[in-house]
Amino acid sequence: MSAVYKRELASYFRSPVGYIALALFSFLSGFVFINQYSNGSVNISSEIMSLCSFFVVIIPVITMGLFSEDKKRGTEVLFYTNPVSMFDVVLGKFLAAMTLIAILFLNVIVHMIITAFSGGVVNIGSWGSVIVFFCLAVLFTSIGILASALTDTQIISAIISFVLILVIQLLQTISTLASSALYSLLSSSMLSLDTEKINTICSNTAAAISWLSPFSKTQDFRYGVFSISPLVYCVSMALVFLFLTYRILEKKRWSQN
Amino acid sequence: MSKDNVKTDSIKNKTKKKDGKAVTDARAGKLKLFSISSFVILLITVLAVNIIFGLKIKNTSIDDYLTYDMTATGQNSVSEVTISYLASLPADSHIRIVGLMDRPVNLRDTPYEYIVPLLDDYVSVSEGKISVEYTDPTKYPNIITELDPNGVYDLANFKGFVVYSEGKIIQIDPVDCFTYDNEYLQYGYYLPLTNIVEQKFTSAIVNLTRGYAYTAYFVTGLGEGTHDQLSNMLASMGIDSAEIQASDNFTVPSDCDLLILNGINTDITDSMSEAIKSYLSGGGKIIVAVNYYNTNVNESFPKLNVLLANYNIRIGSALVVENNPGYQINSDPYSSLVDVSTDYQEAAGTTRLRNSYARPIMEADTPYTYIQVSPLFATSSTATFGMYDSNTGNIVQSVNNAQFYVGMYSTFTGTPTPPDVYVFGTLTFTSDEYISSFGFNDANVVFTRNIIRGMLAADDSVFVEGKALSDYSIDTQKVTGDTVTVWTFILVAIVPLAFVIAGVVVYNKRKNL
Amino acid sequence: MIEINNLVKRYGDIKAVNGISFTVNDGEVLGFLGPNGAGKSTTMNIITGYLSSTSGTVKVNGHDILEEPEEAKKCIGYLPEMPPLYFDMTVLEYLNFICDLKKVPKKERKEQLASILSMVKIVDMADRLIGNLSKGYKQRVGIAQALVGNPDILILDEPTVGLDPNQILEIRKLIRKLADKHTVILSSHILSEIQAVCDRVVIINQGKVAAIDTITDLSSKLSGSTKLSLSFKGPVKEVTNKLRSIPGVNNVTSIVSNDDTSIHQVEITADSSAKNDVRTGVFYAMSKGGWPMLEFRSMDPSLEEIFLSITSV
Repeated sequence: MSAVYKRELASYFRSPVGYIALALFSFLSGFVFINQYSNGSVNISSEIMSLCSFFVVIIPVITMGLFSEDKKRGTEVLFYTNPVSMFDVVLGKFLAAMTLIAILFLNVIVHMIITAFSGGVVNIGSWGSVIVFFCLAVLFTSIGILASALTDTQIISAIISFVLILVIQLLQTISTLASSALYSLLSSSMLSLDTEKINTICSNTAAAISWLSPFSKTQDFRYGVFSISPLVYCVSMALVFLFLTYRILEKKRWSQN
Repeated sequence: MSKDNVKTDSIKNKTKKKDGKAVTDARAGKLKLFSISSFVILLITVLAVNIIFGLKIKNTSIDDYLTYDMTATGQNSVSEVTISYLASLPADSHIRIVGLMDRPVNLRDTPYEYIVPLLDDYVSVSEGKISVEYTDPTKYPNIITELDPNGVYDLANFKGFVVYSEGKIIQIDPVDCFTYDNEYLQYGYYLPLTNIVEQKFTSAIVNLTRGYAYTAYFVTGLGEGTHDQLSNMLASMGIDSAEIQASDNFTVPSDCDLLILNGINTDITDSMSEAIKSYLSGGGKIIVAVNYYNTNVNESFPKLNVLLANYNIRIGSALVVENNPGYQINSDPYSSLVDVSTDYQEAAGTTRLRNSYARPIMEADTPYTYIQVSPLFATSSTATFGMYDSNTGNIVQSVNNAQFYVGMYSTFTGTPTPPDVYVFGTLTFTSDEYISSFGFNDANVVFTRNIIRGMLAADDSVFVEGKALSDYSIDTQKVTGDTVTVWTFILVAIVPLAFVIAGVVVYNKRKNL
Repeated sequence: MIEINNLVKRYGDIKAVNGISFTVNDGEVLGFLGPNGAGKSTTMNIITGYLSSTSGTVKVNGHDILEEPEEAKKCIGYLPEMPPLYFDMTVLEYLNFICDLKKVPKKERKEQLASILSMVKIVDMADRLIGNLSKGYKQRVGIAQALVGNPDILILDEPTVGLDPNQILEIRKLIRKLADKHTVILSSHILSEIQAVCDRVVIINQGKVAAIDTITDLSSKLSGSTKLSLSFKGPVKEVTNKLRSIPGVNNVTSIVSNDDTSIHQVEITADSSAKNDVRTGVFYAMSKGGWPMLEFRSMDPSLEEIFLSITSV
């Protein structure tokens, strides 16, 4: 695992990718921060939350090449034919991407220090937002890794993870849309259900969809209210995606197609 | 090697089953089954664990136990005061809190971000005595008749929360659950300063279960401002708020325990003066608060002064100008500190309070010895009068320096039912503007609360203080325009550019290795 | 030692490998010969654990590749057809990564890498970017990669494909050198390459073993008849008759005939078991007739011909 981790992390900084990600993220976060700073009021939580909405772009860039490049260049053979577990490989790449994200996040730490020295507030809610940031990063990175294992083209991998992360970001909206669509469908259909029943079905559907959203689960963190279950949700779902990646890579061995 | 070649070259090796489907061999089949089933098992386990975390059993879930409010003020946690009151309720009590809406989901930057989590906490600390539900009346119209069978409250047009217990309800509008910065409010922006969600809901619960002990009447129709925050405070003390319109046939209702003229800008009528006098003679209690500001500089309140003369108090029609810089707030002679009289320092909890655009409150020289007047607050000895000159728009100051009072209390001795008369020459004790800006924990507001409690023996043991929302502003002394420019330059230009340059350097260096 | 028993790999309806069995003994260099698509790479991929077989077993030094993959993989160094190189790394960075991957102890690493670099002659290239190396050097880095961790067995899939003749010779020399210390399996679709390097050869075609033999045995089998190509200037009929009369010559067929320039090319099928080499006979016959020989060479049998001859034997 450490071999793959070391190589992938170093590879971010051997190629321009790491520097471009750093430049992009420091610009974005700096811009968001200065925007608040120049107005005389800095809320680190809302800066971090704005940065979370950039994940949809940042994560695909970071993860798109992780497996797809290996497939394209034929270097994946190394992982299959050397005495390493494929899951360790997946984990190594995942941790490398997470480390890069942590390095990107140093920008925000600098902003926190500036805020503190400027007499501003860095409170428990700010740290809660930090936790949310990394929770979401863990979840989305695992999705990005899955996407890169599905194809041998970086761009397609980036598109897949972009779409998946976007869908997750929009789960709230989707749940509202789905419930109203279902409502009109059921009320116009010939099933002639009574309104109460339709309402129950629709609200349950909406609740089920929005239950999946990591954003709604973690939204209290920025106010300083921490709970364990969103962490469990993000980390365990990430584990599911990483395991799926592992199984997809192993499939190559036995697949008959 | 390419699989395509294998396929074309080894076409003769094709082995087909009779039905023409691809053959799956035992080993590959086993691996496939293992792969899929291990994934499915993991997925189901993970989902199950997550569902179990959120599963509500008796209105609480594991998640509720594993939630920690780390905020200093416990924004989203119910405080001890509320918890112990709820514990004191009979076990079979049932209070319904109904949100007349779908459960809000996108809480961020809405009033609900402090309401929804707190209500969930109410449920988890109440041992089943409180239930919270969200019902949209447009989908379930029945809820309105269920809560308000007589249609008194017009719930159909109310988008907020209803606290319901044994047939009685109290409405709570989410917007009222915060106090707002008055400065911003003038421009139509709601900049919340304090979170009084818990205060509102706990007061409602207390007053529904215990019933209001007193009723305070606000006199309206005299150009006064709103009194929402004062009403909130009264409600938390078990005092219901009601209004009486100023008119020529004005009477003080018989259930009136406290009459409040809060920030009136026009004078009362003769009949009101009479009605109030007779009310006070029966041991009534009154709070009068006026100031000297734009809208009332030409108002000298003659009829109000006639009434107050009965209690040896007179409201001056001038502006108190504080000339002692040690008393001025932000070097403003019109907003300053006042010394609290020794007798009232305990109620104030401090020796100095704030006043702003105050009228002087003086003794009316009524020569009856049974009237006992005591000043509440005094300026420094170098204050002067100021009068607004409508021609120049300036404040013209009197020449002589003196000490002025800006608040007085009067009562009678020797009667079985003495009146309680509080007169404030400033609105910094009662107005929405002040309470909103400074919150319920401000010394001025605490003072008001204490004198009301002194008058009515009101029980404010279940008083939940407002929770200050974080103020994210930075120190403008440290952060000047130059500092901002420097940081802008560094963070938005130099740092990203440095990374770009580093990237280019590394790329070029490695390219030619 | 590698024991391969009844290996089958099926892709959908197609059997890429269909019941291959053979054993590779310690210390030998085994050639794996077959045309493109015969199943060479698939077999090697199965031996190295890259793919799992549909049925059959592979045992590497007694470890089953499916049951004890880690143990088995430790014994193998593999160079796939496309060398698994990261073009954005320098040679040394890359080999260090492989050391990490193969869990080579930190202490031995420096020494081992130094000996590998000098063995495959890429010491000068250690700090160059792999992407900037020539094809031959890339192949060497690929071999170096396989050597990391001192595996007993080296499996090289088409190590010379795409290289220029000089590079091919260098690589062949290198493989011979490696054979001193390692068991080597080498695949190729070129007979001469196998002949140049290997002790034993497994010929596979269409997923099946066509022949397993030592090189000497195979040569003698193949040397039953030799084909020679001759270009000359002269009367084609007369020359043909003359050539046919040489003892040992079985047949002469015309390949290219140009009456205007009277330059012709014929193919001579000769009995190579004859004690006298027919080539001297041809030379004397031509010089006697005064017909200038423009080109005279022996024609290597194509793989297809080998298969034909092997299957017909």
